[in-house]
Amino acid sequence: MQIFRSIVRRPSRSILTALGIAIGIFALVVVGALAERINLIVNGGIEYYSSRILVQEGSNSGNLFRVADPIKLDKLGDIRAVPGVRAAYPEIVTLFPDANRSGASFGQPPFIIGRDAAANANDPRPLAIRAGRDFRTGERGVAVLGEDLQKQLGVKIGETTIISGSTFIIVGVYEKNFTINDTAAVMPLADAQLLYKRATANPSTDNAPVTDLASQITVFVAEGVDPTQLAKDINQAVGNVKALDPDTFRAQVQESARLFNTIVFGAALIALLIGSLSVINTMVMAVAERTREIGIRKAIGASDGRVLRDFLAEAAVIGLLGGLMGLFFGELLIQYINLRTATNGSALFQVTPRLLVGSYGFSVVLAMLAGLGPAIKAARMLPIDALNRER
Amino acid sequence: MKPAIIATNLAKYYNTGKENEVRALDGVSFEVATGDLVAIIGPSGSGKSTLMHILGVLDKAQKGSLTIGDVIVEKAPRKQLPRIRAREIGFIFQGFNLLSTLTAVENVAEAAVYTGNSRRESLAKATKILEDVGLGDRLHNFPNQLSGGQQQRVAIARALVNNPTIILGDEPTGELDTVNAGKIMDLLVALNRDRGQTIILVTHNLEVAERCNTIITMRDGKIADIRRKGNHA
Repeated sequence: MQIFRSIVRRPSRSILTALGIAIGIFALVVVGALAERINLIVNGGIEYYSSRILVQEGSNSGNLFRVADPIKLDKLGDIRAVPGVRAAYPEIVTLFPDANRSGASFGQPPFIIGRDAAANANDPRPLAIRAGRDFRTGERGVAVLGEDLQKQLGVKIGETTIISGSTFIIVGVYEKNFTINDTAAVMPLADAQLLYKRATANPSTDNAPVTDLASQITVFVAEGVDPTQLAKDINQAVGNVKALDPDTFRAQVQESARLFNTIVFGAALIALLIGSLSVINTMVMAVAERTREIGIRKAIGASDGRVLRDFLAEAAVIGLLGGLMGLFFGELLIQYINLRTATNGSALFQVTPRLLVGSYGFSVVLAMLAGLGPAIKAARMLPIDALNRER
Repeated sequence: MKPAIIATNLAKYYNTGKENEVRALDGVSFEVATGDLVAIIGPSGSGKSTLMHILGVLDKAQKGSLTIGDVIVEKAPRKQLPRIRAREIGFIFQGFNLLSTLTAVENVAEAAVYTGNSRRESLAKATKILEDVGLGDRLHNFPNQLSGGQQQRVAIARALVNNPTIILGDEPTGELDTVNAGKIMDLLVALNRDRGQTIILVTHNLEVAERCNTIITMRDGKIADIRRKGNHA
């Protein structure tokens, strides 16, 4: 009680001290939320691809982040015949260049994905429907949108939209899973094959029948089978293909994320440093300003431990207040930017419980640690030295 | 009766060994009888305040020995010193030294808390003692809402709240006008007379000193004279 009153009775100083802490926590939360978003995307992708193998034409680079040259579908039977393959489906993955994007986006670009209606049903990690329904076997002219793309396009279920020159009825929206599907228009393979053929002036596709077109074959791994070994088996058993197993995917994702992570880590480190210095500076100043008060308290009988305990408790409360302010303003900025970027289909920041708890705990612990040094020093001073400090 | 204070050869030097060495206290020895009312006088820089701070265990002597009641201060463990300040000594400062964020009653109660009283008990004791010094109607005023005389009364109440054996006043009337200074001295004399508390005051004011039973005169960090009512020592 006394601690709260001591804080309330010095409103300017308390607010300034808490603001100093708030600035640090604000920086930490904002940069942390950016890092959390990247983590989610990376982990979402790694998890999604952990149960599947992507088979591309052998001439491809094997880079998952490039749209692949088409694969010949006469290999589908050979792939399905490899022991350990639970199911294999052809898939078209191509860019959706004319998606109506209203400004800069910080996320991945929109894609058109064509797949067999049965593929999702056989997927060990199927895409969940958030609203509407999935498309059905034999259905044409329909699409299910990823959550981010739906926001970006602003279309509702039952409405039509133009995708690469063709009209599609939107029948459903997939739940977000932090993968390529979030920004994709997923449609029946036959529709995607037409769009793909129309969009690519590729000699290898010009003469091929449209029903033979696919950019990759997605292989679902049977239970208990090692995906890495299965990818090797496919590469050996089927000629001129490149089977990418989850480990390769993980390595590619991590390689791609490394630079970005380094930048975010650097920014987080700077935020942490700014935050820490801000908190330490304010707490050191707060204690230094009150050296005389410490002297008075000691002169009338306060023990070193009592002085220390009171100051640490006060530092903790100020840390809590500053932390709350930092979280509030950080969250405010994050929500604002996320709202702005959400119109492009991708939020930039992700506030997670661990980020909130971590930042909040950090503000309290740091405030206490920052106050500890000067408070110990002040508590151990002779009362007369503390009393004379500001004279 | 056992003396309240025994000071033996107390010394405190500043800038030791340098050209500008100051001998604030240079071998000061005296005794204060329990229940005595003592004035320490002397010119500025004579060591009065330094002596007072050492007697109040706010500062340490570099040499010599100080006994307060049964405690030999220089031999007491560090942890015992706050207890001496809280229980044995009540210190009244020239500049009052009240905590600006606490009300009159909270300022007084703060000292009581340090002797192990609960907050409620401390506030009750503080209220009683403030009423005793005539501030019953100013309990919830902050220091900046009180006159200098009233602030010094709060400081006196704070010094008294733990019923210490010794009250030390460092120029307790130094910042007060004549009327208020007289009232504060009346209060201190009454405390000494009625409660038998040992009171030692540092003062420049000879009128104040003349109201005391013993007058110690200091000069250049040494005791120049000790005069007890009616005789010289």
